[in-house]
Amino acid sequence: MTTGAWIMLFVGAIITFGGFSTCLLVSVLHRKRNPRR
Amino acid sequence: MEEIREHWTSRPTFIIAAIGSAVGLGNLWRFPYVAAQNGGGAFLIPYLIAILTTGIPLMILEYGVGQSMQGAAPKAFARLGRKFEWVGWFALMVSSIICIYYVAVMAWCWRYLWASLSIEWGPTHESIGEFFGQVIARSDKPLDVFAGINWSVLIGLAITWIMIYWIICRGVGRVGKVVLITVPLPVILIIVLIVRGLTLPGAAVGLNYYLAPSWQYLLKGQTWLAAYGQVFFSLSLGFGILTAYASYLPKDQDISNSAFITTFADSVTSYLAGFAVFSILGYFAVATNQDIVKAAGNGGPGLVFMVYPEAINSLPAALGPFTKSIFGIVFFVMLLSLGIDSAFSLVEAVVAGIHDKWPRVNRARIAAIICAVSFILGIIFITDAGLVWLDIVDHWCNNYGLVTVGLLECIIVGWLIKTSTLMDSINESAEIRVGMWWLLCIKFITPIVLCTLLALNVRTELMERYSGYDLWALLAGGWLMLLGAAVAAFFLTWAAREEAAQ
Repeated sequence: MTTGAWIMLFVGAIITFGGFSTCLLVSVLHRKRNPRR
Repeated sequence: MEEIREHWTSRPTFIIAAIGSAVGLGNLWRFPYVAAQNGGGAFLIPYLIAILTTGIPLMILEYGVGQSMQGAAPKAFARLGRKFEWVGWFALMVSSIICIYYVAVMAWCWRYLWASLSIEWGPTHESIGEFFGQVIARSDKPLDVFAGINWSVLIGLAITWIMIYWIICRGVGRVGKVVLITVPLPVILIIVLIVRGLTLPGAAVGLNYYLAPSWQYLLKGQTWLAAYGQVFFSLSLGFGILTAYASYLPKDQDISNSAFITTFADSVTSYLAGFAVFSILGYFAVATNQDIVKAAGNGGPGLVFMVYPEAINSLPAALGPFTKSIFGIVFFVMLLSLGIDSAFSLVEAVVAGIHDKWPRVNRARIAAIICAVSFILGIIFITDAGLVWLDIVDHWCNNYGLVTVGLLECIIVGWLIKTSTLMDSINESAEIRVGMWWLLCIKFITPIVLCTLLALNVRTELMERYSGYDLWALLAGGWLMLLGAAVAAFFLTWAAREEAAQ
């Protein structure tokens, strides 16, 4: 694989997995701050 | 007195169901190809921008309308304004049509799953083409719809419709249980395929095709339109599904972050699917001494029913026929589990829409009638000319039906109602508050993108006949079909008002 392909492999992982896990984290943190919900 | 609305057992169940609806066959056979053909890794940039400016805002809109109005698309839009009810019904009519042919594709998957047991498609490129011709594309003449039915595929069609009926007849309670299996299962199977694919020689050739960036593509308008088109079609937008699902969510639950989670879960699946597809195609290209571009084909049903069986055949001989069968079974079970939750979410949206307006009619009876009628109509797509009609109907439903619904939703919410009321309702329990960014996307960016998509499609239609099919077939399966959906939506709007007046 070319270097560009390797870099984009990680960029793609950061965008997709990173986006997904950040949103889950936001949800968890929000629930901790607002335990009534 | 209004009936108490059924609710999801929990918010995670709602999110998993929405993810199941968004993640479908397109994630496997569309995204990896759109990416590879539009700049490879560079495509991820327009894709991310499209997610943030169209995918998530429109999803928040659909969730917001459903949750705040506590109704599926027709009821929710009627509550926004009486004259908007038609949009909800039109969305459901388009969904019904899409579901009819989507289940036919799943019926083909059942047939190929059966064929995997004995590698029935044979050992050569020619035998695979012949098998594809026997099972799916017997004729390219639209009139051959009357020539015959593929009885072996009919069994798969019946099985799928029975499954859909069983899942949705009891409401979202059972849907919530089923998605706990059908959503993670394909992801696990995709990971199995990735592990197998990456351990084959030549996988890097395929991944290079998928991910190597060609930055000059970022300067092409076509790349950006492909990214917006991919995001729009992949997220179940414009179907009325998300509105129906959100209508079963209590008003004190967040929907904005749910839209972010749903969208990124869809992206993760698409991204992973690219590895499953191209690692194996890379091996196939190297094993058969072909160029990867030629070996990969153009995605779509061709990938699933032509290229992948050939890739399975090309697996090392030392693995033996049994391992090849297992590989085929894993692949087609993955496809079926990817497709089933999208399929029943389409039917659920329609059932919920009708039940909202005719609450006195038993929900299970509505589901039974819709499943039975759709099963009968679906036979068109498993006749000798089934693939031709599927191609035409799919093209018009996606490129005109769904885009029109998405555009009308933006116009209604962005310009014709008091948007701040809906925004306040969304923000009341939001984990991520929506503001100027959302308004800008709903009022300007998404409508401009959707108008451009519509205009470019109409221009292409006027310049050349779609796929070279007969004009009468394009008129009947395309424009008249959409006109029929629009007229049916008017009729249902009128009938629902008559019912309400009684």
